[in-house]
Amino acid sequence: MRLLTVAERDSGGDIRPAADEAIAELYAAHWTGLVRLAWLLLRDDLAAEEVVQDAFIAVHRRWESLRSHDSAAAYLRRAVVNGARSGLRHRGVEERYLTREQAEPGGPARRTEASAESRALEAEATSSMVAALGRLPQRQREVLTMRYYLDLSEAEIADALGISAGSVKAHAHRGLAALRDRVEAVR
Amino acid sequence: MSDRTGSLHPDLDPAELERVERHLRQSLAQEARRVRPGDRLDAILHGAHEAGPATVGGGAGPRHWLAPVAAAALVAAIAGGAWWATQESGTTPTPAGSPSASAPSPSPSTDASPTSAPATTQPTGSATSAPGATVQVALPAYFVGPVGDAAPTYKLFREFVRAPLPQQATDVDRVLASLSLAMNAQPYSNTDGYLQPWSGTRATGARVTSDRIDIELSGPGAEGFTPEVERLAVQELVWTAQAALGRGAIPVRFEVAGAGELFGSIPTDQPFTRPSTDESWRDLAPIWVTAPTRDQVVAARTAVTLEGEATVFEATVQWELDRGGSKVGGGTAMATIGAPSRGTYSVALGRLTAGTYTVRVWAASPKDGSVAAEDSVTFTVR
Repeated sequence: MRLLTVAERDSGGDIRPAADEAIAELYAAHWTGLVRLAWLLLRDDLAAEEVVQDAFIAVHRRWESLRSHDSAAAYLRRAVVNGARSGLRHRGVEERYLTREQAEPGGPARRTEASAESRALEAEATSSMVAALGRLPQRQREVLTMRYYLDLSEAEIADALGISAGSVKAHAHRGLAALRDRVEAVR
Repeated sequence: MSDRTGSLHPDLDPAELERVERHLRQSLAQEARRVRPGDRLDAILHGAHEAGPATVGGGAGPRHWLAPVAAAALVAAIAGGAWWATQESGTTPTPAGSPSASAPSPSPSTDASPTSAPATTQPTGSATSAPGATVQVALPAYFVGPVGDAAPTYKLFREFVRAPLPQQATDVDRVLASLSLAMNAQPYSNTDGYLQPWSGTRATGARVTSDRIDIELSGPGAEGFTPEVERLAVQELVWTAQAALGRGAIPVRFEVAGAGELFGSIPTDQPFTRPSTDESWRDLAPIWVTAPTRDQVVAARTAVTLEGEATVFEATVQWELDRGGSKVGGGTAMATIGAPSRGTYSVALGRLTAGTYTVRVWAASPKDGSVAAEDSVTFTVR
């Protein structure tokens, strides 16, 4: 709320201070979550932070038209998902991810803070599910990650991906069914 | 939840669906928790000001892929001057394994054939060869510091330090950059008491294969430390190199320019590695605080969780939270496992009002109740 006041006060003149403050607030609220989202989509520390940094810079540049925390947050999500996709295309990070994954799931390359022991245990518990998720088509992976990591609604996911709510439903359904077949059936 | 998701998947058995959903949710949460983003607010603001406001109707978004990277590189070049300085001063890249003197050294002669390596062998000093764009990454670096008892006893602490890396960083780049950070304890010596056993010494080159890490050092290390600190100083580089690579306990070998020993006493004709997990206490400080991180800025609306690793008697640690010098919280926490194994602990501190906080975690000696080990971190809520 404080931000809007500042933005309004500055609306006639230089918007930079308002934008700076808005970015700082958005950063405090969303930076970690979005980097983690980008990481889940990209599996690459470097690229994840870059993509989200890009998104924040884009919001700063458009702050005049966005103006509210909520619309900026929605814009951030769109930018991060798009950035993650273009990051995958541009930089071959997927290959890097796959080779690293084969080398050592849960390795320090992921900047893990867990001990070696807990890392091993967690890796065992999650690797099959995560590996299966990684093999899903991109759309399904995006939908499931936003749904079950960020707990976004269908409408929010539809907005972030630029698709209809019906498509979100369909992707989620197919993705979950595939995960059931690939992971749960084995157990 | 079951309502909405149930309608999403009419032909999946609800119980089955719920199990998949729960499993997926847990897996994603666990995966995500491993990621600890570094601080980029300054880089973002800097990048935004460089770029200027978007023109009307101009599609910025994902298309201006390169601009922020360049801005980040600029910030990196300013913030990470130490690393570049170190790299640039080593302008004579010595090929790994080549004897420095005319007299052939007996043991490392086999190292000179790079084609024999089973995996990709990268040339020494490649970190200096790419002056292109860099990105800020958090690299693991271990330091020798006091564990917090009265003695004082020294063990290893791990930090994640922001540093610039070339965009297409190789394994060698990562290893050398991490070593460079670990060997410069100066930024922490006043605040944390970290020792500087590598003062005046640089890692001048490295080679990485699937089963071996070779590290070239410009000298044998600083003088005046106890044998145990010297041992830890070597282990500090071993842990750092292995962590930077992230492929487990790959044996490390050292070559010291003009010397066959580290610190004048530790022979280099042997491989080094980290101890097995049940003996990590030999090297690692009994208590680490891993979250919040040093000087982290936390949003006031975010719940704060204290996390760390501990190798302590009865798996018990005590903690205290201070705000502006007065105690605002405290208690006891249990690690997942007691000494000699290394466990993790976690304490939900909840949402905190704005301010600067210090959280201190310690373990009491089973003998007399004195502080046997401690670690602390200062962070800001705003």
